[in-house]
Amino acid sequence: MYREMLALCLLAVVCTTGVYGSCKATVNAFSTQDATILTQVAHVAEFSLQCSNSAQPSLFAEFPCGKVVPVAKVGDNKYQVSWVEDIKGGSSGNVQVRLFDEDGYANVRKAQRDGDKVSSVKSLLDIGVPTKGAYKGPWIKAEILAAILVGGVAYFAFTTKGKVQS
Amino acid sequence: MGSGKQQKVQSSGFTKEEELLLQDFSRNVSTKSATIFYGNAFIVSALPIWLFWRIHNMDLWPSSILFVLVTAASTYLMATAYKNIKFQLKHKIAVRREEAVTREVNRQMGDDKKITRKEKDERILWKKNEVADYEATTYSIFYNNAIYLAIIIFISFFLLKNATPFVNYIFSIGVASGVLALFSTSAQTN
Repeated sequence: MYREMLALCLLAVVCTTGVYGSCKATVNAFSTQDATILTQVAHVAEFSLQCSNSAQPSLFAEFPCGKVVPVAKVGDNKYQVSWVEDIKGGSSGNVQVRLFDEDGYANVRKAQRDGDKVSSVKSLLDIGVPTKGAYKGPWIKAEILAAILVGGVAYFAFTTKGKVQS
Repeated sequence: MGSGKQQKVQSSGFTKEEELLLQDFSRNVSTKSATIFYGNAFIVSALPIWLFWRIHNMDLWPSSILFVLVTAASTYLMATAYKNIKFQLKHKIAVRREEAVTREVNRQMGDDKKITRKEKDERILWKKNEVADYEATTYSIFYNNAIYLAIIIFISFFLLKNATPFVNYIFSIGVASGVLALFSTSAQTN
């Protein structure tokens, strides 16, 4: 009876924490800073993953748009994921990226095949990637500013001439 | 010209007062004014070289002959425009300033009994002419420069933005200075 109870407790712990136990990630992010001559901007997130059982799983990342991509392993416990987006559709702020292990990814694929919501699949870990907006050039172009200024001066000159001649 | 006190007859047959009156309505400009006009016209005509060299990426040395020719033509046209606008404005300004100049000269003269009425009038006329000449010269330069630069910026950056820098330079400078010289010759409507 005692052994059965212990097995039940262990099963409950494995179910709640998954195969890799509880995982924690520290994220460093980089975004394209200057997009004056670009059409797309890139975001790179590098994170160190520390799971309670020291496992280093293969990961897959799901972005808010629904796209799922494999995460590159760039070192010991270090992972990297990157994506690009159009400048016009780009936004700054925290991007929630859901990470799946291989089992989770299999469930995602299954959900996609069955037409179910991917969001209903439980992720291994969710990370928030801070992204920054890229510099897209000055708010007002230099030639437009110059045209406005010189146009104003020319208008003043023109009206003053009219006043003098009247 | 500066004394205005002598009432002698000039070699041209006009009295000093008549000379001053003629100067008021004359289209001719003094050497000093001409120097100012041509100097300013050259500076404002040469300025766009920088614009087309640095912003429109024209090569400086291979295009130097074009720069010199267009700048010279533009300088001449701008100086003509300055001269014509000055002529249009000088008399109007003189009329507007007459009262103030008279008051000022009378205040300066005070109760000087040695000065005759005629001499005083001559002094007022000379002063009025000088003030009107100075104001008309500076205003003519300001007016033409402002319109010239506005036309150049509008044509080179908006109208001919897809043209080659070579065509853009010739047309923007040529049209700006040509239009100013042409419209400066128009008769006054007021």
